[in-house]
Amino acid sequence: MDSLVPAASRIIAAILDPVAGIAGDAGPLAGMALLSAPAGVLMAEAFRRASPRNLGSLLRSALSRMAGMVLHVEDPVTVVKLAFSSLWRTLVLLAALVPPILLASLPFSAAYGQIRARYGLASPRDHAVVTIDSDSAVEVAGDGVVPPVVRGVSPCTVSFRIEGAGRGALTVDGIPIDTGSGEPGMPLVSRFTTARTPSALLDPSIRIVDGSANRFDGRIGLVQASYEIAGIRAGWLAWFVILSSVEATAWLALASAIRKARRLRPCSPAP
Amino acid sequence: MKSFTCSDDPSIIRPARIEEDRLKPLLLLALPLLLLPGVSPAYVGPGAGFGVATSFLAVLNAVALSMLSLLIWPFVSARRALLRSRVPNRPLAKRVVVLGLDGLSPAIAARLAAEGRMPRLAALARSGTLAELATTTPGISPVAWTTFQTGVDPGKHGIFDFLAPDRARYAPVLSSVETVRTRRGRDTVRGLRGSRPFWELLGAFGLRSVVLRVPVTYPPGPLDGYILSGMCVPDLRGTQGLYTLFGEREGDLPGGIEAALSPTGRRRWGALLEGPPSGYRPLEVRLEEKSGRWSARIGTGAPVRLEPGVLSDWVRLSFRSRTRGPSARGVARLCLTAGDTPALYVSAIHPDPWSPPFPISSPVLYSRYLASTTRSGSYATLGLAEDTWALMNGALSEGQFLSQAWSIFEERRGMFRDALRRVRRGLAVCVFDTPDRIQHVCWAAGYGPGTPVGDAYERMDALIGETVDSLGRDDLLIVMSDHGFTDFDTCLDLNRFLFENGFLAFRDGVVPPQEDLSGVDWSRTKAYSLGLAGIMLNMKGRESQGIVEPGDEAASVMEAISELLLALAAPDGRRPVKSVVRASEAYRGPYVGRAPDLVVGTREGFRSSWHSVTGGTGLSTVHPNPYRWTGDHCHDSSLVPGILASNERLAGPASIRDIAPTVMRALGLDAPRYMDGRPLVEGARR
Repeated sequence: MDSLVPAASRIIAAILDPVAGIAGDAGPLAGMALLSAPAGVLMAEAFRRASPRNLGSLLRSALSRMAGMVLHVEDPVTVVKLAFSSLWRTLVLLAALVPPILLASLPFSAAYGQIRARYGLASPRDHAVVTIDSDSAVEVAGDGVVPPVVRGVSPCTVSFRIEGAGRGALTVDGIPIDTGSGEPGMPLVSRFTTARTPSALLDPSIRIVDGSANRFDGRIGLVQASYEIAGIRAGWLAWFVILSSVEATAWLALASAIRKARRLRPCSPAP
Repeated sequence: MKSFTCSDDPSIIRPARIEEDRLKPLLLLALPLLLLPGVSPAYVGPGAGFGVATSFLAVLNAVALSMLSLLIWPFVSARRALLRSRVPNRPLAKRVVVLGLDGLSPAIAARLAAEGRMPRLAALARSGTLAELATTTPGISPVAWTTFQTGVDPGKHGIFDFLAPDRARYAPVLSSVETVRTRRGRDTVRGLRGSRPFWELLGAFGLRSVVLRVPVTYPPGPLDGYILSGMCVPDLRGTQGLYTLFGEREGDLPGGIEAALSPTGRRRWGALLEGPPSGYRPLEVRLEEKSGRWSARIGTGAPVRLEPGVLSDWVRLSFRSRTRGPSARGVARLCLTAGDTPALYVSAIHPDPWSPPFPISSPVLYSRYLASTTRSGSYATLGLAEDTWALMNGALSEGQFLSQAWSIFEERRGMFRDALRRVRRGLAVCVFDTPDRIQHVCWAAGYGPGTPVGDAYERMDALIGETVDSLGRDDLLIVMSDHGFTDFDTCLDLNRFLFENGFLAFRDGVVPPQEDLSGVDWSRTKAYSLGLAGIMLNMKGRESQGIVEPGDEAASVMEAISELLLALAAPDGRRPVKSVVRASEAYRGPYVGRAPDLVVGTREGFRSSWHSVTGGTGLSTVHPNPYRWTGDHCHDSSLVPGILASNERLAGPASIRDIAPTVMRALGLDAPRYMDGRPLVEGARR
């Protein structure tokens, strides 16, 4: 797992790097839309391929009981019975949705992790205020530091972002931190052990400090960036979820139209 | 409820996989995922968000509706109690359950009961009632079931046959519905039944009804309760059921279409499935075999795995409008015959109960709700759902047809059981068509043990037993059929008879056989036949090109036709016609004018020919029945009475028109004066 995670992260980073370059110049919303597009397409395909064939029937099964509750609303006994039946059917539906959800969450989470690792809680081209409090001095050196410099995930989990190798050095408690390859988006590997869970693969920025790193105790606060679209203000994560979902839906519709267009070609007799 | 899959061999009925059973282990396997360390908001993704939202909405909906239900319950109960206080008589039953078994013959049932093959019916006969139930003239389902639901004779409800003549065009039209154009230019269906069903009267007294699949209830009317329409609900093509057989041949058959299946690659074939008649795009059918596994894909739907010879589950079809209007949604079942050139049977396209293109239930939600009572989440909605024509044309084997019929029976049984659970006071009616359809096409094998007809009677007995077991102390059960059955081995071609006797003439150059009345010379025609038992005069002032003067001339023409028909003899000496009744004598009421002028009652073995039903003319007046449809009931009505059984002793003799007054009286109501029947519970033991 230790070698697998960085490898997977590098692959994901390599896919997103070109997009991130363009996204960085495109502005917050357009950049976010661009970055979430690969995730949306992959999510859609993963969901489509992993969905059980009887998903519609399961959904209708749950909904038909809800229809029954409306129809029998003046009969509390029937309504309660149908309510339990409806909840059970919903649970059955959710159980059927687990595999496609898990599979679709892979591309989503990979993209999410990459974006978060690159930009923290802010969107492309935006800056966030980073405050670091520590029992010891925390030294951040180098120019061209990309915000946020340091991001905290939990009290014992940190990750770092700097721009470009050789352009600066980062020291925590006087200990120089290896910044890995130094390329944008690459995870930190040297000071931190990797959680042996699938979540580490999904979010490359998460690293849990091991026992030897107890000396570091930093508290980090970030100001979450939020954006207003069509009068609705929401954090970038919400927009990422919305945009990737919209793009996933658009992809499904497009793919369906393409498949249909291919099928409607005049049938040629078999040789 | 145990559900079954269909097999070519009806004796092999395998329990179907139930989704919950399959998903339970998956659910249990998925739970540990929640315990995985390394919490990350990215892990769940939007899919889980959708899941959470769905669960939240489901819980919210369940809680909100339960609360609402509890809140309004006192008011609704008070309103119902108030309405019930208006019931004029002391009710004899809290709930009346009517189990309609279409075509169940009292003679066969009595015999099987005596042989011990229908023990539950025999038990009813001992403790309650088992009798003949006189049917209508003629004893045809739409006529008889309309009389059942209205309590009046056909002259007062206006349904005299499956088909009625369009007297302007001399063409057959459905007798029960017509399509009319609204002011907004939309086509809508209007029922032609001329009297009110008795369940519409119960609501005024706080009595709810559940009415399932009673013929001639399409389009469904409003009532205090729920109704799912039965016979006369059309398919998506607007017909009473038209299957498609994709294979090597092309052509139109009675009840079906044969269309070519073109090869599109190695072990791949394609075709187009036509949907609604105009304004909708056909769907592409793609059939494929990969490593011995067959699959079909229709339109943009998911591929359906097919096992050769086995009917598929319901497949949802969506026909897109060419004019950006709403799609027409239907359901159909497929059956593959494998081979070098395969054949794919696609059943008639039933309106999708989840989103029917026209109303099939009242309230509209009810057809959706009923989906919850079936294993597959869908069910047969077409009026004539069992595909007898596919069997007769060879598109389905007998085993496949029986599988289809019994799976429809199981769907209906699930609905009926649900209705019995939901209605605790009021009326529950359900009509099962299975015995009628099976007797029509499997009559020749008799009703011995192991025969399709014998099995049908035994399974109906089990259904009766199941229903009896679900009754409460104050429930009245009425088991009834609309008519019985008898032989049909010889066709009587009424138009040929009229042609040979000079009452019907063709234009110069036109000679029989003719498929319809289009070649008739109306200036020389006095009478014609259309439908299953009727002869119409070409009456001046009524028919568009009528020549027979009403009054004496009409009477003399009818007299002449009657005499000749009663004197008619088949080549083997048998007499085909038992009775010829004038409409003016047989019927009373405002709709007598819609009736055929003469109703021909045939003897056992004879029935109107297949040609003359649609106005056609064959080559001989009497000829052998070419189809395996050898059981029928379109005879003299005295030969095909229905059955009446009950858990109470009912007065006799009973007629089908007595059922509505009986139900009303049992629930404490007086039957309206316009009803022709009488309550059978008057003087009954209680």
